[in-house]
This record gives sequence, structure tokens and C-alpha cells, in this order.
Amino acid sequence: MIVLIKTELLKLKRSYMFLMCIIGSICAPFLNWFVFINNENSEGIKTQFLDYMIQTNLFISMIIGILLYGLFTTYIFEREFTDNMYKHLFTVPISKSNLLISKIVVIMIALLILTITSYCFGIIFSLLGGFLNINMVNIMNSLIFYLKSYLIFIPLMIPIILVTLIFRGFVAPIAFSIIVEIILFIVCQSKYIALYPYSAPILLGTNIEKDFNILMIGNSSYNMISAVVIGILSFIACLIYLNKKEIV
Amino acid sequence: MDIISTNGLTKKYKNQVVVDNLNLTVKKGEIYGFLGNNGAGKTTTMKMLLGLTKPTSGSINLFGEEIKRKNKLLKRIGSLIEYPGFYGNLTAYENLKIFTDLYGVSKPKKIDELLEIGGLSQYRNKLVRKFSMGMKQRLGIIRTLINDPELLILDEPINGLDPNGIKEIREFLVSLSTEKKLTIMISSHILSEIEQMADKIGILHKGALCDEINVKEFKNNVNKFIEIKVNNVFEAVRILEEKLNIYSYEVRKDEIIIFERINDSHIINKTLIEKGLKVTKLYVNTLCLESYFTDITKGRVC
Repeated sequence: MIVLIKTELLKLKRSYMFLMCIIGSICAPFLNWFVFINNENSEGIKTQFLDYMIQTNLFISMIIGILLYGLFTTYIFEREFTDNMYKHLFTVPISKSNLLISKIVVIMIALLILTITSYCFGIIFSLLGGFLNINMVNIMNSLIFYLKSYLIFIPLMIPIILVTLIFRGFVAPIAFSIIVEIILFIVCQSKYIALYPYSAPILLGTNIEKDFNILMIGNSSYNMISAVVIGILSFIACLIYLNKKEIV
Repeated sequence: MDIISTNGLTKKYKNQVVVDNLNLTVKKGEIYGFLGNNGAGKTTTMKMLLGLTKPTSGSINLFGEEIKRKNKLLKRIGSLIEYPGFYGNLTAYENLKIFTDLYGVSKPKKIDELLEIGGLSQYRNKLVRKFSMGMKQRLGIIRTLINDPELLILDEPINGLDPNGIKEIREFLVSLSTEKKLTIMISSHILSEIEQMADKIGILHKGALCDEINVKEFKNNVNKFIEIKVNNVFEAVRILEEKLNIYSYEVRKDEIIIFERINDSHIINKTLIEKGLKVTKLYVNTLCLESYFTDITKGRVC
């Protein structure tokens, strides 16, 4: 397994896609910083560090996360089709399940790097903006929010893997991500927010449930459980698909 | 020992039969040439041998074992199916490194040795996306040798190579077969190349194995025939059958093509003349593999 993960990481060498995703992950803290600085200038309210960090994480969880992480997830599986590599990989004595798991591990590593990048740039921009209450407690609290969102994003990426394997190419998984995103926008403004799995990073990674005391059916554990269940079911479907379907 | 043997191997996609009841055997150290038009079922057969495609029916034995524990057998096989794929953002060395790692090859100089064999040492650190088609093909061929295989399955490996490259690869494959006793199954459209390197040739047409030719025998006997032109074809045919017991012949316009008793051309000539026929042409001709292949695929023989 370690060898497989190592080879998967080697495949990312000189990859523009990962670089693009890193740039994308810097966008969220930068855009939010810009908004907060603008508000400070226009309304004269000093920005709290934790507010800025949570708002940035909300921005990631709601807007860029699914698209950016989904794009990277698609890339990891789709490039094997583009580079005509599956038929070579499947003639090497490795199991398809191990190949799938190693790719998911690489996605987990990459998503963690992207999350940490957003987080670190959030701190850097906060320091540049002179935001209030940048202390160890708030730094740690915001890290926990980011990590919670990151962890729940992982099972949510697995349906995108399934779509990529079945439809081959970027179009279907991107269309899928956009549909997921549109539904998320609609659901977020309704009482059904806790019933939609893709809103789990928002509920877990921000404090909107407490702060805004929003009316909703169920609570954050509902969509956390549904996200994990969706992830597990998609993983099983991927395994069955890889083992039963001739994908070369 | 049979390295490959298939029994009634069949592959159907919906109602279309792609490979039809294929029974073939490839012996150890043999170079088996697989010939067939596009869509004849060569690639599908090779994919089934490698476990990439599941047969609809029939069985496959590799190294005397049925392919149930596929991974164990794959360790002993090197393969190149259709166009060789590579990671364009990686160098030749890095692309091979991925596969040495996956096969668990620990020999540190293995990759450099292979690059040397493929004549690609100078391009070791060049990105594969900058490689020409021929260079990729060479890299694909040397990648099949990473695990020191006992069996090579190569699907049109000389596509895209220049004449010198084709010659080098041919000589290289022949040397692998003779020196290392490597068994090679190779498909190609370039019939003359297959003829030059293969020990046995299987001709696949519409999924069925039409003929298996032992190249040495083909060159010595099978591919020869006698062409005769006489003033009275009907009388000549009667004499051939009644006096000489020749029945394997074909009448084409005013000529008779005889496929048997090739060494008795002088007797045929003498008999026809003695019976008062005027023989204007009689010679032993050679059927090249290409004509033979064309005859088979156009349904003249198969």
C-alpha cells in the first residue's frame, strides 16, 4: 500500500492541476480578507480574527470546496483514462481495491494540504489586516473548524470518484459538482439544511448552527451521518464497478 | 510446455461475437505471431489472456495454470496492449520507476539498463510528453521487461516505429526469445515483420482462428504451388485427376494452380505433353504470407 501511495504521489510531480488547486485554496482567504478590509474601511468595524477565519471556512465549505476538491478528485482518476494508463496498471499484480484506496489516500493528503494552505493564508492575511484577537486559543479553535470540514469533505468526494469512473472525463463529475452546489445553495437557506449531506462541512466547520440559531429539521449529526453513509456506499459501488466492469 | 493454451475461448458483446471458440497453444520459447484485420479479435484475445476482459465462455491456461489467481500469473507476464500510455508530466525514468515500484523490483540499476536496451539512455530525464510516437513505443516495449517476464504479450508493438526501429525491435525480440527462452505473443499488421520473427502464426478472421502456420514449414512447403497454362484446360484437369491423382487444384481463367506434389512438376509436364497438350507455361510459384493472409481473410481458404 505504501508503494502504491508513493507512486500516486510521484504521478503528481510537475502537475499543473495541483498547483492550480493550491492557488484556488488561497483564493478563499484572500477574497474574504478583501471583503472584511472593505467593510472595515466603509463601516469602521474592526474585524475579529475568529470571525474572519470561520467566514473563510464557510466560503470554502459552501462555494469553492466542492468544486475545487471535486476537480482534484476527478483529476486523480480521470488522468488514468486520458493517459491511457488503466490497462497498464491492471496488468501489474496489484489489486484494484488497493489502487482505489491508495488514490483516496492521495486525495486525503492533497485535501489536507489545500485545507492547511487556506488556513495558513487565513492567518497570514489576518496578520496583514491587523485583525483583533489573534491568539493561540482562537488559532486552535479555527484550526478545529477547518479540520472538521476537511474530514467530512473526504466521504463527500467518493461519489465524485464513482461518477468519474462511470462517465470517464471531466464533464460529468464537474456537472455533478455544480448540481450538488446548486442544491446546496437552495438547501442552505431552508430548514432542510441538516438533511443534505453536502451541507455537512458548513454545519461542522462553522458555528452557524449556534450563532444564528437557525431553524432546521434535525441537527448537524444528521448530515454528518448521511455524508459518511454516502461515502461508504459510493466506495462499495466503486469497488464493485472496478471489479465487475471492464474499464479498459 | 504450453505457456498459453486456450480452450473454446469466446467473447461476445451483446449479440456480436468478437472471439469465437478460440483454441490456441503457444509453447515455451516460441514467438507466436497473431495476424488479423482490424476488428478480427486480436486485442480482445490478448486482453482476455491478461485478465483485462472476462471471456464469455471457454478457458485460458497460462504456464499450465488456469487464470484464477491472476496476480500471481501477472508477475510472470510483460504486456503492451494497443497504444502505450505514459504520464506525460513525468520523465522516462520516472515513468519506469512507477512500474519498478509496483512490481517490487529492487534492482537499483534496472531502469538504466532498460533505457540502454531501448536506446533511450540519453532521454532518461526528458518528459514523456515531449517524446515522439516511436520513442514512446520503445519505452512501452522496455517497460514490459521490468519484471523479467517469462511471457511477453505485445499488441502491435512496432506501430509508429521507423524502418530502423522496426528492425532493431525485431532483432531484440528474436534475441530475447533465443537467449532468454522468452515466449512472445505478438500481433501486427506488418505481415513481413511477423513472417521474419515468428515461429508460428495464427490467423484470426472475424474472431475465429482460421489457420495456424508453422513459419518454417510454410516457407518450405505450404506456400508453394505449380502454375500451369495449357491449350485445353478441361482435358488437362481430366489428366491431372485420372492419371496423376491430383485433386488439390484450382482453375483460374485459362490457368491451373496445383497445390500438391510440388516436387513433381517435371512429371506433370511430361504427362501433359505425352497426352498431346500444349503446355505454354509451367513453373513453381511461391505464395507469400501476404497473399496467403489475403486469401484467408477474403474467405478463399478459411
